[in-house]
Amino acid sequence: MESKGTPDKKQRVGIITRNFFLHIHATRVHVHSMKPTYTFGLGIILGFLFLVMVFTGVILMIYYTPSVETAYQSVKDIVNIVPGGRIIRNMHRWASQGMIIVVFLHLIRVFYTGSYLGNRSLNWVIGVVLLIITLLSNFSGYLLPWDQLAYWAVTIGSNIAASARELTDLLGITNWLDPGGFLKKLLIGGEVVGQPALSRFFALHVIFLPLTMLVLMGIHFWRIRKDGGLSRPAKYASDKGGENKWYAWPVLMWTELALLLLVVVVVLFVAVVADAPLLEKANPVFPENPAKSPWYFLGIQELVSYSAFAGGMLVPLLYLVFLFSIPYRDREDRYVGEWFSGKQGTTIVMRSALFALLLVVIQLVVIIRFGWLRDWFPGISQWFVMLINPATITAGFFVVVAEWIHWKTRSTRMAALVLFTCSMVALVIFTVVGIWFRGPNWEFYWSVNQWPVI
Amino acid sequence: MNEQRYTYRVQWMVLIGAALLLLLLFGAWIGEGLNKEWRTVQKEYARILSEKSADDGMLQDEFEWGIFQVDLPHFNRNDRCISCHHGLENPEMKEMSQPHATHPGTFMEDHPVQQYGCTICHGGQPGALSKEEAFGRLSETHWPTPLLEQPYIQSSCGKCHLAVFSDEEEEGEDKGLPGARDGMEVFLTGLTIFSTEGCLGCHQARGVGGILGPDLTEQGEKTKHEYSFQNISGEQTISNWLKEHFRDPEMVSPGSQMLRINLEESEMEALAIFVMGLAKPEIPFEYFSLATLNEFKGERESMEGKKGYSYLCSACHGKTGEGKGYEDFKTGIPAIGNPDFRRVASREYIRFTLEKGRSLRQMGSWTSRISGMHPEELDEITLFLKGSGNHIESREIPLSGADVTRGLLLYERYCRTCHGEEGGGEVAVALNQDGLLSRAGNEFLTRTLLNGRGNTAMPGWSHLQDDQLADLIATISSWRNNTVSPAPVALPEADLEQGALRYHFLCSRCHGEFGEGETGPSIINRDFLEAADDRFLYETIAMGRVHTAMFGWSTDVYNQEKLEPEDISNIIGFMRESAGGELTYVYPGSNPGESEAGRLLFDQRCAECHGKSGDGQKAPALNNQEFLSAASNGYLLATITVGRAGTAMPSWGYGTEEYPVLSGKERVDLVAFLRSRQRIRIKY
Repeated sequence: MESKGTPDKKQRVGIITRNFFLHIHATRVHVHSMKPTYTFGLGIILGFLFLVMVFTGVILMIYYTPSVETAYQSVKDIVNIVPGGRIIRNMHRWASQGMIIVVFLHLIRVFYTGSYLGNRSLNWVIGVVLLIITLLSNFSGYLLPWDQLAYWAVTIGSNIAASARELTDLLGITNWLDPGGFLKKLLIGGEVVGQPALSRFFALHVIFLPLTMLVLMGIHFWRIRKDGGLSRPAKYASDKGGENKWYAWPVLMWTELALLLLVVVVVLFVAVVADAPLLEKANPVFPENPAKSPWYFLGIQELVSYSAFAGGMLVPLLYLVFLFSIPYRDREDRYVGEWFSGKQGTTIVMRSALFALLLVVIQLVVIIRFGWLRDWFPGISQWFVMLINPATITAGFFVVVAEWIHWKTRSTRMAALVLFTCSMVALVIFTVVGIWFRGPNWEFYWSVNQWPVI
Repeated sequence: MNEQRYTYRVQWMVLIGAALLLLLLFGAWIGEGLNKEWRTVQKEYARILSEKSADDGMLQDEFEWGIFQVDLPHFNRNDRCISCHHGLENPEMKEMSQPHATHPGTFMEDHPVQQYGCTICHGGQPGALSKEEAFGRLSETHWPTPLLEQPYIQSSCGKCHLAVFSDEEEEGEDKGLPGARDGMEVFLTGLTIFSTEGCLGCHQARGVGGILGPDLTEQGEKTKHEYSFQNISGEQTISNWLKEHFRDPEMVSPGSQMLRINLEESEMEALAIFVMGLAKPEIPFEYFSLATLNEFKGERESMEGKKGYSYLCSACHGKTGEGKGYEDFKTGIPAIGNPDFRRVASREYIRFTLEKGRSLRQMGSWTSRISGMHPEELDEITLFLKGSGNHIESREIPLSGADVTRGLLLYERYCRTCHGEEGGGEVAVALNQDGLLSRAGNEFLTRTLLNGRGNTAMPGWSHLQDDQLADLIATISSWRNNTVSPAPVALPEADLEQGALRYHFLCSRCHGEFGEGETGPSIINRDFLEAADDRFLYETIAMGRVHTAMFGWSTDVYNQEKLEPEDISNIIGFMRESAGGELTYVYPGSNPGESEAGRLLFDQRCAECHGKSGDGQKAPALNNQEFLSAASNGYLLATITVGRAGTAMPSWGYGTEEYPVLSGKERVDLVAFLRSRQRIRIKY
């Protein structure tokens, strides 16, 4: 690229382009991209969180042993003996939770600013894949302390992976075709969580998933360059060359440094004041009750409590299909770069949120107060229970309403807004219920104080 | 927003962020590295050391800082307690407060820290370096075995030292533990209570006991998770669970059939501590005492009868055998310590019941295979229940001063109902004839009176005073005309095979195939044969007994084989041999009654308590097959006749206002009816 004008500017460009680590940045960035209220820096924060994870993870790896006999004790030793071990472990734990939250926030930001439109479709897809990898990384790491929390969370998770069995059992074909069992065996290497599960989760967690994430992150950033930097509204579309752009050096570097410090300070602070949980050593004989998967899967676990297949396979897969397909169904590039896509979009988003809230809450009230089909018609076929439950009803309603908005507004963007908003609100509500309102035997309780002693 | 201002703002953020980061790092460094609890404690310890050495005027050893631990691969742990409890083995620290104090008592001499660590006895979290984590008591620590304090720590002694069934003074010679019992007082109290409350009646421990309740052998190793605290309102600790469980088992564990235990608070605690010490930890064998290891293996000294009873039977049958009434327990529990029971129940009856149990009742089979009790131990319990020290009681009853008139009154009162007016005989043998009395000397009478005759209707009368017994003997003797020859009779050696054949072909038709009695009395009977000497037997067989169907086999009887002395000797030999033999069946014995008449009587007199078909309502079940297989007809007759004072069973032989007397024939008919309810003959 040709140098721009004065030697000073030439120098600034050079610093970026001639440095291996820095040259992934563009030499100039658009002003709009630097607006904190546009991106909230979520992507960069995510990247730095990943860095914290790798750094603390390597240190932990020095002391941790992935064997069922010694794993728990090794974690106890990290906490009790290794100088600073408690803090490093806490940082690893809290940063990982932060990553999940921020990855969802980032997804939300990218969607609502329409940043998948235009030629950014592929980057969106890569992003969704990165989301899945993040979840898997967290899940695989969850098992490693080998305490009661870890063991039963992964047991639940592996059984959710096997939820296709509900369908194959109903069809009576499980003996010949058992995708549920296959998936479970692929995941944990057996019927129960044991050393095989620990070994493969460890391998996934420390090598395979981080490497995959690193590679995909590289592509993700490279795509940003190829797609002309971060998305911005149409009014900037005609900006050419250096119009409305700042040189990346030094302002972008300062910004990134600030965000890095912010991330590290927050993570370190939380690590100092709050300890990562560690329950009793895993004991396959005594299940936790309630046994809960990691919090980000509790929405799915809540749906699974209605129907294994519908809640564990069908609806999540539908959701993923939806996410992947967004940039290929919605091509209305005029909406790029604007939060909530104008007045119409904002209204639609608010109404969809309200609608989703009402629909989900009403169904929750019904199922918690009055039960569901199995309680009213004890002999009813499982087909009905599988196909008619809050998971499928919610999904069905959302799809229908989205299509209706599509028809009414003649806009795929509006339809996408509806479906995304509704599904995100529903996910949040189900997750909240799963986290705070489900007690032993998955009964509904308003607070932990009310849980019975078992 | 221009670039300058933006950059400015961001640079400020960097500055603040960097400052915060440095602050946090520094704070974390101080907090994690320097402000550790164990450092503070060690500093305190070092200060104490230096003070002491200043007082002594001696040079102090260089105190080494750091984390100290004891590696215990055989216990699968590393105990770090000594990082804070550094003064554990330092005798100078005796008066100090915790955590610097020396370990109390002499435990350290036998349990050096380097070999045992601390947590194997004290519980707590071995790897922890802060007090809360180490104690593991708070639920946030998620530690399954919290620290034990006195008196609960005494339960840990049990894990290696406990030999449940051995006697108090344990040798301990292989472990060289003199005074091993110091400091175990509460635990030992618990052991005593365990042995007297009869817990092993339902529970097993180390292979011995009943199978109704859970096995307690490793109860002490259970962690809090293995208990359900659903119904525990007090402290959520194992010891409290156990105490509440003892007080009201059904509330704590719904559906439990366990009886409530009534103990004082301190005794409850002792028992709970004992139970917490019942364990079989997975540690190398060298750490156990020899007696403990033997018990794990299933080898132990045989318990004597009283001890066996107390371990197994006392929970249900009561510490003094008083049983439980029907208000307390739905199907009642027999009072096997009842004197009337003891004198009518034979050893065979008791032993059989122990062996087979009683179907449809809580009394299970205590056979070796199920209960882990040795057969000898069950024999000992039988003898204990029977109440005899030596199993044949005989003593000198001084006859001077005996009064026949008084004796007659006694006879009227106690004996007439079976032995008839003036000893003339009714359902029992006639006593007033020479056929018996010329052969039965006072020794014979004494023994028969004291012991009764097992499995026949003759109960024991050892509860009578000596002067009463003397009176009775004098009375019976007064019917004697010819004196008994004291000379022993010389008999040729017995050929047992011949004796068996002779017995079978000649005697069994009246006396029963196994000598249990048919139309004739029970003669292959241990009590009889120990009372009757050879002369008695020989003369009876040879001469017969007048006025009875027993003719003399050496006399001329039409169409009857005449026995030579060798033959009689053979028979006697065979009889004595068989009487000492192993128990196979309890043979019912003579049954002269009519069951149909008995049934009518039963409906009228017995069904009110014993149920229409004898299945037991407010009284024991009489149609129980194990009962009928254990009980001879003699036992039935004796029980009906004598009754059971102290229970609701009246004496039908003596009668009361409410329950008028039943004649001998009526009683015998009842026996026939009861016997007709037997459908299977259970073998011992």
